[in-house]
Amino acid sequence: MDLSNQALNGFSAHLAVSFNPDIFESNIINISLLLGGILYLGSSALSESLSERQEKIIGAIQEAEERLQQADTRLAEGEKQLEQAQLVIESIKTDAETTARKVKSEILTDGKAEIERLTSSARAQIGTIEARVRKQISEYVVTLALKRVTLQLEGKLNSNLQQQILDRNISNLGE
Amino acid sequence: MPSLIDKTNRDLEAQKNLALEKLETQVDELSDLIKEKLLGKEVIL
Repeated sequence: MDLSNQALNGFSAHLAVSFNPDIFESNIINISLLLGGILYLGSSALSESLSERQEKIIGAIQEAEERLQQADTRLAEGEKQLEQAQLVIESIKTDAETTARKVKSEILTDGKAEIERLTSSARAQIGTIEARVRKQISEYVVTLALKRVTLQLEGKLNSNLQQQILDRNISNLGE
Repeated sequence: MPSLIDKTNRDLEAQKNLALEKLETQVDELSDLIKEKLLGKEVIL
């Protein structure tokens, strides 16, 4: 124990700071009284400071709550506008589909009528052309047949044959 | 592979030849009829 005290004293002497166990010499009571006074006097200032800080914090919380409420209100408005926009989009889409179906039906109907009109016109033109061609062919056949008979009669139409033709035609007049 | 136009042209050509043959026959028949009406059946040229 002595050795430890000596070592502690030596160490304290070396640092030039020592612990004085004497209460009166070390002014512990004075320091305690001083601290007590400081705490007594400073508690009101500290309390006031803390109260002020509390008010600031409460104000900040209220402000944050107001902002949160505003944000919620804006979110609700935004969601409502989005819902309305979706309704409008759906309405436009429905109208567009209806219009597309109507236009498609009209195009098909008009196209069908146009095709029928063109077909009818083409058939009429084909009938006209066919009748004209038939007439031309008939005339051509008659002309060709007459030419062929004329060629066959050329050089062979002697007086005897001419008499035969005359007799025949005269006899036909009586029938 | 022949196109549709080529095939149609070939078909039309065949129909034209057939029609010309029929016309030739009709010309012969008509000329015979004319001769018959003109000269009578008993006259042979």
